[in-house]
Amino acid sequence: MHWLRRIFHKEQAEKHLDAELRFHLERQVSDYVAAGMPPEEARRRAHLDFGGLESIKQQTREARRGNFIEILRQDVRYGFRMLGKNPGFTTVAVLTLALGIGGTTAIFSVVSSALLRPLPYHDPAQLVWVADENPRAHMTVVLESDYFAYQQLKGAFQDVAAYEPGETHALTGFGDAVRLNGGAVTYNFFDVLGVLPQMGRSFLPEEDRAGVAHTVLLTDACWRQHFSSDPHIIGRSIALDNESYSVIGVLPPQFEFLDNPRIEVIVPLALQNREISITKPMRLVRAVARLRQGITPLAAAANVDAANQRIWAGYPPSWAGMMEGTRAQVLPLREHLVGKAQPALLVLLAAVASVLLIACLNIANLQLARGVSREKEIAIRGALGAEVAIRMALGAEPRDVLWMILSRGLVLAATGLVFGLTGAFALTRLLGTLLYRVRPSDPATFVGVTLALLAVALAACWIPARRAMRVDPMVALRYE
Amino acid sequence: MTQEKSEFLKGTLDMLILKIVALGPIHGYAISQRIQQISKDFFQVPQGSLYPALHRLEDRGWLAGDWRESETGREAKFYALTRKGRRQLETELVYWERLSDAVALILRTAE
Repeated sequence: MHWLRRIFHKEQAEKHLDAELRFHLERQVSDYVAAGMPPEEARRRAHLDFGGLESIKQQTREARRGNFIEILRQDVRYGFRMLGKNPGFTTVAVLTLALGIGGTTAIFSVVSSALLRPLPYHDPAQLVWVADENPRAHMTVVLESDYFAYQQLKGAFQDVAAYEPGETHALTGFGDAVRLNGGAVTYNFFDVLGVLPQMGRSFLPEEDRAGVAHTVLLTDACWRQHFSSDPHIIGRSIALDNESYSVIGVLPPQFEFLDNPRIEVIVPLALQNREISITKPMRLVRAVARLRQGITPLAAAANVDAANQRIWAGYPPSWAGMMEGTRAQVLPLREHLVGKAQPALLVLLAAVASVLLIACLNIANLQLARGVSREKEIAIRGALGAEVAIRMALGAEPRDVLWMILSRGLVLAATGLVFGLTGAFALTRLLGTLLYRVRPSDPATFVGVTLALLAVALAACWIPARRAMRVDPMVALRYE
Repeated sequence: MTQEKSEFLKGTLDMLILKIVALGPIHGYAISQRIQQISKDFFQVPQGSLYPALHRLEDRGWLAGDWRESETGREAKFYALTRKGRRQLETELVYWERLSDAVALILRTAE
């Protein structure tokens, strides 16, 4: 921490230097006086001996290498100047870096928010998505009467809930009318997910029926944005599509609705048809279930298939034919929500990571071979080698020269980072609108990626720097 | 001759300073006086070389600076030789002896 102390003590060091030189000057004056010189003359002579006080101070300051910030500032300025002198090199290096950094950060940010972040439900590993996949109709949903049948499969599921992300509702009565994304769920939906409202309660069985008084749950974001975090919201009535709904609860901030995390208000699904009927309109729903302990999704699917055979035997003949070839699908919830994107995302991540790697190799290479190559030794080690050799020959310490090269690399990397992260930010926003659960800006990812990339960039500069240091100064000077 | 002397001094100043400081803590003005006296006025160390050299040697850890009262009662910065500095001085002395022996040998042989 030598240098740290020096930064803080810079002012004091400056004072000390001044006092030290002044002491010298005054001792000289008094010695001249003691030798019999008149005081005026002695003063003049001493100043004359001394030469320029400021230039001595400057030389003395320079004799100390220690001032870290000062050196960093000079080296960075030098780095910028060198890059300005080689616009071609600089453009290529910065562009490749920006491309690599931007791509890696964006994709990694997507991967981490979509794939690595745990689902915001209790024990999400036990949650499965249940559907019947009909290859001919290209449908993967559940008929409402079937959902009631699956609820009886106690051997496979602890409980099954149905939900439907879907309609938008017009909210009126709170300033301008706004459209809210709405979802509908069965009363046990939140029990299955293991989510408790942060305020109020979730739906009661008697509220999950047609023709009863309307109730609604708000997400945390909706409550904050449209109801200014009103602490007395529970029990208030709000108008959705000109009908009155009573607010019974506010969901916790981390909650995300299934399939569509942008859903803001949730109402009961109010399913009615427990039996199949061709005279009533049957609703198609989506189902989520919590597996019984020790049951695998595959075993549960076999259970559902068996149940389907029984149920469909009771279907009207025209429907039974339609169900032919339909297979139960029981997928871990995570796989259902992000599974389709997973391989694509990982491939993309690998692709952009290799772009970054190539970018770093390019920079190492360009650093190495920049400038016009000269004879043998120099041609092999590049212009950088010559430059290093000259500096070493002029008496620079290896540590200083190494630092000079690294700081130049840092300037490059930092410029690339600025462009890259800007691009990454835009790209993640775009991907966020296309993919489920992607958060546009995950600060932790951005910071982590930045640090990792700086390390990689430094390594890319370090290697050519080490090589260049091996040049014999005499050989380099001969060709310079 | 002045030019040549200052060139000669440049290469040996560090060693001369280390040697003088080795005798005991001493401030910059006294060092320059001492060098002048001992060399019988052959060397006059300009301040523009002395102070950068002192600070460089301090920065390398060969000298340790310390503020204390001088013989006139004023505060002055006294330099003392560190253990690292003593080792450096020994190395430089050995090197110097070999160099001067070699030069002397050449001069004698070439006569």
